[in-house]
Amino acid sequence: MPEDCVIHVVEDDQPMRDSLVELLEEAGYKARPYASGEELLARGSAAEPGCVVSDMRMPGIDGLTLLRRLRADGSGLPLILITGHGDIPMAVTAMRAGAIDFLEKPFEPDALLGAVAMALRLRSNGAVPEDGEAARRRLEKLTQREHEVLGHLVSGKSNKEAAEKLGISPRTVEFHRANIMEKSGAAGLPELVRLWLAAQPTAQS
Amino acid sequence: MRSPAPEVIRAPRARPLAWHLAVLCLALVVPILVLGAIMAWFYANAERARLEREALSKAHQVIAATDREFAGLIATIKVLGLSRFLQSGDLDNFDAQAREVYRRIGVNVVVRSRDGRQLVNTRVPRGEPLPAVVDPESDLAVLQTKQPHVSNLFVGGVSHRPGYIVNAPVVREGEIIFFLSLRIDPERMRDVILQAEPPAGWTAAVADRRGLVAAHSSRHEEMLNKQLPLLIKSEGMRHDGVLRNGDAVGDPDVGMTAFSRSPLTGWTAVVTVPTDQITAPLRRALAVVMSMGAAILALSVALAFLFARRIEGPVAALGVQAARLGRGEPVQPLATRVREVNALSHVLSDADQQRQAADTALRGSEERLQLAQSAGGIGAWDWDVVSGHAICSESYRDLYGLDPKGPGHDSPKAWLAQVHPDDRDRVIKTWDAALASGRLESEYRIVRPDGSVRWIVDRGRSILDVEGRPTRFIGVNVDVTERHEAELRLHELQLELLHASRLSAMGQMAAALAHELNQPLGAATNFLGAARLALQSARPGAPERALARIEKAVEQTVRAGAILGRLRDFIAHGETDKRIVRAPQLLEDAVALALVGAKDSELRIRFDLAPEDRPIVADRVQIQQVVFNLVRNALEATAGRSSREITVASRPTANGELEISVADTGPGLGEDPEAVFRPFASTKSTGMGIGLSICRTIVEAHGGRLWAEQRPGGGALFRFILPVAPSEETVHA
Repeated sequence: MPEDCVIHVVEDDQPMRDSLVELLEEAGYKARPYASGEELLARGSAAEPGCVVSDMRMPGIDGLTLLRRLRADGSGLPLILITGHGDIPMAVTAMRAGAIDFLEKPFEPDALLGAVAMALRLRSNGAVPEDGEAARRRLEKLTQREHEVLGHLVSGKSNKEAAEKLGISPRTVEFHRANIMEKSGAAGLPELVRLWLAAQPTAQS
Repeated sequence: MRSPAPEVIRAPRARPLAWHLAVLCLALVVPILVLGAIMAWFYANAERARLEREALSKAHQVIAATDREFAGLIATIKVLGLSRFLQSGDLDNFDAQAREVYRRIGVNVVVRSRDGRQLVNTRVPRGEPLPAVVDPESDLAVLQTKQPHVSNLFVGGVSHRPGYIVNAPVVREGEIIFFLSLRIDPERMRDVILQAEPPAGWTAAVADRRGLVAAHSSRHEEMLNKQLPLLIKSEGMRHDGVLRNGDAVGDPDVGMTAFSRSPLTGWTAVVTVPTDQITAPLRRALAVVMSMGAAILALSVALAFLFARRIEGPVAALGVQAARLGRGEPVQPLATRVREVNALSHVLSDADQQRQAADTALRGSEERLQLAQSAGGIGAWDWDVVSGHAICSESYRDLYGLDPKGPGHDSPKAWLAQVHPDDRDRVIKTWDAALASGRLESEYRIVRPDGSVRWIVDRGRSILDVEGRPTRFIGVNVDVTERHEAELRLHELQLELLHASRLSAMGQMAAALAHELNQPLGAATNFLGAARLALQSARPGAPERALARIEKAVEQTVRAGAILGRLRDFIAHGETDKRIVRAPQLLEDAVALALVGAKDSELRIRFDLAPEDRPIVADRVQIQQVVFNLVRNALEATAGRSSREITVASRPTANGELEISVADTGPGLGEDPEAVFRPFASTKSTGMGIGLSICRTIVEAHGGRLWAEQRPGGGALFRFILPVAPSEETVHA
């Protein structure tokens, strides 16, 4: 466990922040709490290397803005977003903006610890691309119509909007969506988005 | 003295029309009669004056007749005195001569000597002895004057009867040798008087100088030689006159006495007029006046009765007409001889026609009322408070399912029997209160004979007598069953709508709510995960740390439970449940729920709650819904603005109500703050725009008001007023 790594916990809700810090510390990480994204940004380059665990919804700047501001400041700190109520557009946006992972509350403590571990690994190894080939294989079982539905969904459209675009009923869209989840074997929306992003031919820059 | 009792106003005494007309006639007749009487009196006076003149004239005639008689006798005696037998004293021859005179003119001739001895008397044969009867007064007068002299009345020595003489001296060579006298019988003088022809009933008399009656026209024998009282007293009085009584002759039946005295003899003629003749003209005139008056009076009374009958007939007919009008029978105009009666009759006839028209209109109005009552399901009732008897309209009996032709409810008892048993006690209480207040407003169920239940609204009021006591109670019943059912359905629908509205609000807040719930749940999970790790690691102090984290996890689950509990109440589907609630706790809960997911460093929530905690009677969830909606609206209105401030305040009003207000610093409501209460008028992208309209419905259902206004200094200000719970005593009363 790298000694010099610090997990920056950005969370406005004090009990949540305390619980995250205690969980991470018990797991052997060094954790530093911040009540808002501004506090972390204020530290700037003084922030220890490691990774960021940030809540999505916060007064002031939210998790996504924090990610963008970090990138804009040239900070490469990997960032894990946690949210109380996630949806596909938000997940897609976050992943595209460079978030390592997107966790929905409440999450298993192991899921957080796993994401943190991956983030730290990415930091040491540099950017490890998702296996595009594997991703494409998992998605190739989808039908043409399911691909179209998936494309609309990850572009941030709601079921209703996708249905309109495709000229089908929202209930059919829901049916396709359930099939997509089933065939891809994705555990949740973030994983599905991650798979889809990895499967894109031009995803890797 | 009279006691000062209040003066009793007596009704004028009613008298028949004939009486009044008779009074009118009397009023006209009496002055005429008085005038007649006055004229009669004047007439009588004139008559008396005429009688006086006539009587005096008659007296002059009588005295003139006697004077002529005496003058004739004096002439005779003068001639006789120149007889040569007498002058020579040859008395025997003279006696023959005298007897010739006696035979011719019926006057007894007497010659006396100077010493009064009778020498010749033609009444007795010559040679018979003669008494020496002498009238000394007459002889004395003759001796003094040597002129003939008429004596007073005296009783003759031969005849022994009263009589009088013309006594004259027989003079020879300037010496009186004999007294020659002619003796006149009173009867002869009576004949002289009668020549004056006193009118019937009158008497004429002559009296000598001493007032002794010398002749009397009617009662000669009786009155002869009687003294007349007047002439005793009237010695030296004027030579003629009229006395207005019978005192002068001592006769009470005489009403007027005229007298005339002769300058020749000193004798007096007396003419009397009987009282009857004097008063006769007056009596006659009065009799005429009286009889005319009586005739006019009789005519007046007859005319009065005649005209009274002419007027009374038409007036009686008018009375009959008025009575007919009173009974509501038709009245035809009369044609009588009295124009005023005809006019009045026309008026009565007009009144009858107007009454008939009014009757027709009233009947029409009653029919329309009846129709309106039955068409509107309205039943009318009328209860006599004193007798306890009640009557009800046909539509009322219809309403209660009773026989329309039957009596219906004839007493409150009969009515109460049809009131639903569950409502009966309440209805009796309301009824008692209505008797006291005079106003009835009651709503209850009734059971019809066929078992069906209807809702009735019963409204009524009392009718008071002059002393303010209720004598009657009248009212109407309206069948409101349909309305009642519709209200029940509406109430259910409203509850559904409120619930749907709350669910919808929660749906819109789903993301925020999830965040709010996931926060404590996530924290708890993390604490538990940390605890597990600690226990797995088995490092020193691990159990203690694990225990502390489990405690923290418990805290967080409790926190999540509180949020869920609040949410569960809010979205629960329940009946309206009004209870006494405390405003501060209610407001804080509602605001907390509304602020879910509204975390913003710019947002400031201010509570300005009245220190006085007045309990209100309200449905907790519904009032929270109002506050929730207002705070959510305030949040949306201020979203993205530099200054976000929401003030939730409460304060008691002057009327003892509680006013709750929610103010924000948003853009405000514009020209027409009321517009936001119209349903489906939302300007927001989400929601149906019925939130505020629902809020108003809720507040008004609580007996309050909700309105919006501009907040001083910008922004919107919503206020609503709720009635405060009655004090403890009232609640338990």
